[in-house]
Amino acid sequence: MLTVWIAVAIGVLIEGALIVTIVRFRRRRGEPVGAPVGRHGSTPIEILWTAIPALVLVFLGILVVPLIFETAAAAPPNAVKVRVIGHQWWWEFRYMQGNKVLFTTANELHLPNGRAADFSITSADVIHSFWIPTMFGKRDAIPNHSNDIWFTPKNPDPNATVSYPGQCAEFCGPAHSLMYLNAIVEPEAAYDAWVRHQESKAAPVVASALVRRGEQVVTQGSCAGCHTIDGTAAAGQVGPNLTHIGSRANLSGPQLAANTPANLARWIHNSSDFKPGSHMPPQNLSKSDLAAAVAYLESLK
Amino acid sequence: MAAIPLPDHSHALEHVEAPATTGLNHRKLLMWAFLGSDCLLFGSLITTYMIYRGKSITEPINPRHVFNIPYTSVSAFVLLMSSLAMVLALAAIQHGDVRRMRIWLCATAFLGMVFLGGQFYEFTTFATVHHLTIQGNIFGTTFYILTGFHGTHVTVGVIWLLSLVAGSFQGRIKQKNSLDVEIAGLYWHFVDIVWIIIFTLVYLVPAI
Amino acid sequence: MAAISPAQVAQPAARTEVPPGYQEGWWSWITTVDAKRIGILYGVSAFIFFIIAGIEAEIMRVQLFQPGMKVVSADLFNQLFTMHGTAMVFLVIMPMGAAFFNFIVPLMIGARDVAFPRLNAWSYWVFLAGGLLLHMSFIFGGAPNVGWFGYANLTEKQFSAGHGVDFWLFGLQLLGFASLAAAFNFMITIINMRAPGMKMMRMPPFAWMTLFTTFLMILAFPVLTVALFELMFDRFVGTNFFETAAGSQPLLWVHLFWIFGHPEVYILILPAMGVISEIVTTFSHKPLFGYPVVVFSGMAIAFFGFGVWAHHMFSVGMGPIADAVFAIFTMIIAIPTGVKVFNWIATLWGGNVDFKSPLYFALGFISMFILGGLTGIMHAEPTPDLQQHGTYFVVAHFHYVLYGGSIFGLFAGFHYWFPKITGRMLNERLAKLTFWVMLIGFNITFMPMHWTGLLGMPRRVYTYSPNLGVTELNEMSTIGSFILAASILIFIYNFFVSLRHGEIAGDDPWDGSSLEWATSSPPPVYNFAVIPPVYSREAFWALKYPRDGHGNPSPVRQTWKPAPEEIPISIHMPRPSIWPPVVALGLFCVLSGFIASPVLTACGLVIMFTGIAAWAMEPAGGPPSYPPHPSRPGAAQDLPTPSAVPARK
Repeated sequence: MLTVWIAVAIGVLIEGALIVTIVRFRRRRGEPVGAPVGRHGSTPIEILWTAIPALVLVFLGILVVPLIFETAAAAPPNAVKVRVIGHQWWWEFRYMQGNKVLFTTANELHLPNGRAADFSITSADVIHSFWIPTMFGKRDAIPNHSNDIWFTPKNPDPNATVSYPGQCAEFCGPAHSLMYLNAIVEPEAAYDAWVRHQESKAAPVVASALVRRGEQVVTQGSCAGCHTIDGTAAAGQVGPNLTHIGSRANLSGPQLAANTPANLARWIHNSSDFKPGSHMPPQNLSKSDLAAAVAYLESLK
Repeated sequence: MAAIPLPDHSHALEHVEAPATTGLNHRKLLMWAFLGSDCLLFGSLITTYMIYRGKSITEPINPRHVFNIPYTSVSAFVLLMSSLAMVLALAAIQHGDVRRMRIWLCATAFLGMVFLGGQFYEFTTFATVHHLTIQGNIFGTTFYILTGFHGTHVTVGVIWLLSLVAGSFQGRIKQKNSLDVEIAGLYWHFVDIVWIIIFTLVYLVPAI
Repeated sequence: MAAISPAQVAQPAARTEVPPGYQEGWWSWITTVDAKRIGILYGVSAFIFFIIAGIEAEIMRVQLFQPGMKVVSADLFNQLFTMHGTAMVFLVIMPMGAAFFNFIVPLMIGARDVAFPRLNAWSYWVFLAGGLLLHMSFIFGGAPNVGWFGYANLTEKQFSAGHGVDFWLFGLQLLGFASLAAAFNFMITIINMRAPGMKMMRMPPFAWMTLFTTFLMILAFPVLTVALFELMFDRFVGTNFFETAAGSQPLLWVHLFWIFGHPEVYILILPAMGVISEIVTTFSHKPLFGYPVVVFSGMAIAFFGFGVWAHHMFSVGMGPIADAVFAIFTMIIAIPTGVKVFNWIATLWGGNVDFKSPLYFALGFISMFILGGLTGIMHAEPTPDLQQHGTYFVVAHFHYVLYGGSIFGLFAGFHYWFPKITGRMLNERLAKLTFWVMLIGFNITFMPMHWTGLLGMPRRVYTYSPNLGVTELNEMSTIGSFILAASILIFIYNFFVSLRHGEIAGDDPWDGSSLEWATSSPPPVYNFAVIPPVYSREAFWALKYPRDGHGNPSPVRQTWKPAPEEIPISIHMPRPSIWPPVVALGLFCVLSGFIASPVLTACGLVIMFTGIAAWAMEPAGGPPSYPPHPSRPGAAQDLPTPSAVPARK
């Protein structure tokens, strides 16, 4: 913020000087012009207006450089560790404990209020950038490269659950504009519950024939080729993990579409409707199969 | 309108090129500027090679297992000797000896072609014996593109020298335009120096 | 000997007989090696590309008017912003600068021509080939859609399967070769072809900035050339420079691109700064304050420009030490930039400021560039930059420096030198109207983008969420863009009307300080019948306001004309040549053939090598031109002054 105020002050000063100068020394009608003479320069003035900006910048530098190192410092040891993997055009989140993967989810991130969150960021395909504007700056997700960023989310009301939408900030192809994510910051207790639930295997909360049919369609059909649902035969590595997809509030992010049966059905039928160029091919399921699949997936809370 | 008698050309005053402000010939300055620019070209290629050294995922990864330093040293020496021949060619034409210049230019071009032939043999060995190919891994890619750009520069140089030789048969190269040979010489020496740098950084340094 | 009145020597006379050496017709434009004609070719081409790129911008602004609009598809939008950025940088600002380098710099330094006239022509034709190749992509499968900076590995065949990236790659290679050739030419022209007495520290500031720009070009473009070759080999030969499966690092492209890209933006701004120095001097009617400092600050900007590239990369994770070093160097560059602005203001201070349209645009440059420079300082700090990078805040910043800066500067130069190039004055009222509409439209378009970016809208997006709260700001930007477009229409109207009916300018309508004003408007093909003597900086003022015995300059402007006995009987300019366009065509075919067919490449190689051989063996000297000479009484009335642009009645 200080940079902004310094910039504004300098701007007002210089623009002001310009305006004053051209008003004061404008050619007046009828005045003889004379020879083009005038001061060629002045070494003291040159030194002055080189030194003063230099000092201002040194001052800024002294403020800024420690901040750079602070931002790059290691996260506190009790931080939540999440491995972020950018894909065209969705976000994979692997919650880690040391080198062990606790569970994998996609697009929706939960974080405990008041505890540091440490992100290790990479990409599975092209360069993306992980960004939650209202929370922190961005860090690029680069294939064959790992970047680190950490911050401590703090809700104004410690008991509230607040949603912080984010999106990819490095052009990555046709659906770059729609590569959303959502970070939900909640009290520690709620977060712990969420983590425990995510670690569990897939368990449909509804037990109906439609859902059982849906389970068959999804875990034994083409979906399994790209998606993983823990505890079932579906172990594909290409698309987002769907183990608890029913618990996610949105498809992709709140900016794109809410996670309703109608939207999910449309997505499965032709994801390019939502994300142009999406790598998920349109699924040619019969109406009843589609309804079953949706029912099953929505039941995976 | 009566025909206007246009002046006799033989009295034209502004025939000569305006004198150069620095006293140096335009084309010589152009060659120096071009070589300065070319430094950045080779610099970028060498940087690419150095950044990727040892980073291949598939074999061959370690240059020491592929390179034959004695062999490449000989070909580097050949190129160095070609620069000597170039110097002698320039000295010859500066003394007005077109015949001797022709001989030394041919020698320079010949040594350049020996260098290129040596590289051709060297690279086919790398590809067949060590499986170092341009598509195979990062080592192959960066190595062949770097040396390929250099080899292309040598080839252009050889063609240039041979065209100077051809021009000398038509009487185009004389003592008073020895600058044409000097400029080709600048280019040739540059290409040689670049090889010294490549040989050192790419071949010799990993071998230590 | 009949006296020759200044009016007769200065004005283009009635046409009777065309002397040898002066050609008319389209063939003479194709084979021209006259830097002035080449400058006009660059200028006209650049303006056409400006209109195309502007239309692309308008379409984007309509699409972004509100969230969820479906004016264009996502992919077409991506093509539009890629082409808009690529064209504005390489096909508009750079060639506009080249137009002025060509027409004005030789005149300013008292030279008749450039060092390598045919290479100069070749540069133009290769530039045109590059621009055409880039735009042909629209017809042949789609324009490139990867951003003007084409980050790997999005540009690899795996992620960009069509030919769009290939058109981009080869188009840029052609533009790179054209720029390099032009840079070599102007570097050597400025160093080696100055008039007697024109020491380096007496050169007009525009010539200095041109010189620094050429140094930047010859050192920066090879890096881009290498990066493009590496991408080309990856796409066509299957090499592994950016192939992540083989373990490569996409960051290599990012570094190489910005090592080129940052000096590139100084290539874009330095010529405009040179123009401003000229205009501020002329219209303050006062020498440039702190000339040596202005020159050295240009040198400092060029030099440090090579040390700051990674400030485009603060979010890639280079580590705090690299981040800090680049932040510090970026802040250092602000100092010479600011010093230039102060010197311009100090030139105006104490002057006799004449508010003509070129000065309006120059003042627009100064005020808008200051704003862009200040947001630049904000970007120089890595930590805030992690929020600003990749958002509309950056878009605001670079449009303030590139439009508010470079484009306003080029418009200033155009309004300043239009009389010299065409012999007519632009309509002042229309010109001032252009300025005000442009200034207002520009600010309404780009000022809101600072907030748009800080509210979280990333750049290079074809739509945005209504939840972001940037809808009204986007609406404002779109409306502003139409006002900006209107200003361009006013300008085009002014251009055509003035070309036909503008007031005759005469040699020196502005009482200019530099030598281009010491010859007719437009100048004869040989620039000056007699190269004017150079006694000091502001060389032409020294001739028009000669000093008396006490060193006091004449208070009244004198007319300077060369002494009749110094006018040569004839002047030989270089002969026109077909080989530069032929070699350019060959090169175009070679590169296009990679996309189209190897047969085309093979034909291109034959054409190219034949052209090069013919070029090398062509005799250089051209037929004579005849300056008006007192030995031929009545000659001034009979012989037209050969000129680059046909004289109009």
